[in-house]
Amino acid sequence: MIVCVAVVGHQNNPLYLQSFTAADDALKLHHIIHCSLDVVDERVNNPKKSGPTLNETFLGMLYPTENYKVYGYLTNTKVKFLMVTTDLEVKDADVRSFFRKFHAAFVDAVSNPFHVPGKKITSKIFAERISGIVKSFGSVTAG
Amino acid sequence: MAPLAPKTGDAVFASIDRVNAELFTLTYGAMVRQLLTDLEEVDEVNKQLDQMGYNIGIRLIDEFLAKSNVSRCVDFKETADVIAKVGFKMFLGVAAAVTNWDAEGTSFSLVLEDNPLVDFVELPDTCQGLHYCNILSGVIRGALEMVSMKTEVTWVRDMLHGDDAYELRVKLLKQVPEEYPYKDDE
Amino acid sequence: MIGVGKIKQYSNVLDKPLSRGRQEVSLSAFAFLFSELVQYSQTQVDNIAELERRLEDAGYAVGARVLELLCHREKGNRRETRLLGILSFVHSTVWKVLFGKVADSLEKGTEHEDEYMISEKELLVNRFISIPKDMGAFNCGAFVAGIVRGVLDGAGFPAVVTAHFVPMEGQQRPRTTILIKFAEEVLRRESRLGG
Repeated sequence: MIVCVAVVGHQNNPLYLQSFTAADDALKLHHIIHCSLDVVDERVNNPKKSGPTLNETFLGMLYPTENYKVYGYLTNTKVKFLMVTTDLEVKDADVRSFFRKFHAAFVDAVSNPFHVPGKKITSKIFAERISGIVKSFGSVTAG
Repeated sequence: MAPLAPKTGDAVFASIDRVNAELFTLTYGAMVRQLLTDLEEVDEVNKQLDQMGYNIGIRLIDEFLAKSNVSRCVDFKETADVIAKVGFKMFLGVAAAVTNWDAEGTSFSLVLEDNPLVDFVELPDTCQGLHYCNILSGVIRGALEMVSMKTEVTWVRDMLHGDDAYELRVKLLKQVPEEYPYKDDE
Repeated sequence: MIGVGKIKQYSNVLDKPLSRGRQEVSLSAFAFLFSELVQYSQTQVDNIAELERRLEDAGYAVGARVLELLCHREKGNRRETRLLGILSFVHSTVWKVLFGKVADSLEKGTEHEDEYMISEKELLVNRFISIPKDMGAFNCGAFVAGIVRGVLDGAGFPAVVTAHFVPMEGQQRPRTTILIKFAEEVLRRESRLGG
């Protein structure tokens, strides 16, 4: 079950944060997000020139704790999507699919002329779509 | 020369130069944002959009008449159909519907479900009074004025305000008898 | 591609198709809109430089969004980290999507290391606006310069981008050149990466 998703800007500024779980876990989740960002930064600034990982958008699993797994995705505009899940058996394909849909929703939200780049995403439609994508995570995706 | 048969909206759209819709949509959005920054008041922006639409409408009509081969409309009903089926299609690539004629036949609604101006748009709470697509009402008003119809165009439904479609009410105020302003006959 | 009216069957916003290449509108719809943008902008400024700046700002808003759209849409898109990569992206992909063709040329400046030029014989926005004589060197291409700056900035390649008319021998109308001057940090990073 996905417990938390976050969108973080290229200066590690939070653009969107949504928990799908009880409030008292929220602080812990924020901490996990922070640590994950460090991992992302490490990978992005990795001086390794070779290898496909430098330019790929899907970053894979960033940070496992005993209860959670954090997955990351980096867009070409250095915006990061993070997803925290309690599922311990997560299929790579499901996560990739999740992030693709997430990315699509993100693109629509920032294409809004009223969205201010670099500022938090306030779109209600975006929030609804993300909830929908989170809910359908892991279920068999129809064509 | 025998008059050319009027073309359908699809046919005209297929024959003219087209451009990526996103460029159009995003440019309009940037323009609305600039208006909001300059004018601050939502009502002022609505007025400005209408005025811009009017400026466009009075020029657009010539191109419309030329490319669509539409002859002078016999009545207001025909005008409405032509705007919806040919006009919208030819410029915006979308179809509009004509509905809700009043008993006298002087007022109708134009309904649009698909509208390239509003892709991606979500109005912030501070702009709820904004008629984001108000340029359209100006365009229709301006174009019709050039063919001697003075109209009043108002919004009835707006999807950005939560409605299920865009609906413009077009009311004929005055139809000036056929006049050719360029022709000095006598 | 002929625009097909989307049939609204989706009662739930979540069922809407995710963003994908829409359709097209008529070129004249864009021309009319752009022309009004220029006319309106003229009422808000005192001089040509300010006018170009406003158009550039509008273009920037478009460019930033176009970048996000394209990054998502291009399957298997790799993040551009090199200068030539991003320039090629602008010259080919961005141009193709926005203007229906790749740009006429991409050149490196001869005098300065940090300058590159994308040129177009007939830039779209200059095709339908005729500049009155009293407006001198005003170039509507400032709008496109803004788009390019928005794309480059979003991709991590900040630059100063301007539009210029360049008279061409044997041609009646000058071509438009979009001049890109990259920020120092971009060149530093480029040489670090082995450029």
